Amino acid sequence: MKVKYFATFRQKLNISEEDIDFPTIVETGYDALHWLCEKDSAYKSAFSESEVCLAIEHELKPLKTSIKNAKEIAFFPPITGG
Amino acid sequence: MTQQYNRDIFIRNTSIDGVFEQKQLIEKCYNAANGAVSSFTGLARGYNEKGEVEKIYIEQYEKMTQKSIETITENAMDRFSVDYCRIVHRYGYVEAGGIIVFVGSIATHRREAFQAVEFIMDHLKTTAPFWKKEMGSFGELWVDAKQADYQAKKKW
Repeated sequence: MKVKYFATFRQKLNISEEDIDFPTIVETGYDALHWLCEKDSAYKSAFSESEVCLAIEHELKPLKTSIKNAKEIAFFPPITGG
Repeated sequence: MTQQYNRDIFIRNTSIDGVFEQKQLIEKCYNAANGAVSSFTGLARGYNEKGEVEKIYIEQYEKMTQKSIETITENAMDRFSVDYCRIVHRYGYVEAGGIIVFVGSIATHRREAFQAVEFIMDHLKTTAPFWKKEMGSFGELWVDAKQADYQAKKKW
């Protein structure tokens, strides 16, 4: 699955996207976040900066939403456009 | 049947000319019922709590922005009786004082025209995937989301 990062998260992680095969125990956006933070402290540090928002297939979704079978997800801080 | 929405949405990395956008909006009034034109123009503020802001950088989630603004605009047009909406949003670098966003609408009466613009702005602020970074003598600072913006969306 393609995982994208934006704004502070992109800058802190120094990557804008990566391909990740999450293990089967990862079901929701929240599980994916937790798994990434366990895997590498860089994620923990980046995501601790602010609230984390999730998009699945380019649509905003709550973190508890299932990401199973998604082609693309994204993690980003709260939106500040307009 | 899919409803056809009379609207234009532009997401661009070149400067927005406010006078041109306003003119485009007024030129869309070719219906005798078009009695009200309303618009909002958002500019890059030249200061923040750290000092003077020289420019801002706007990041977007390209594959998501167009769709997200289309949904917001269609929701506004379903809700308010407006004949046309025009949304222009910047990404990339914007100098202080430059235009970040233009939202305009045409309706028969002013109330609906005002409300459509306000609805679109309130939703755009919290659901269209843009992030702003302010740059100046203080360095670089990502703008924090404002609680007031989330409250503003809830009132609809």
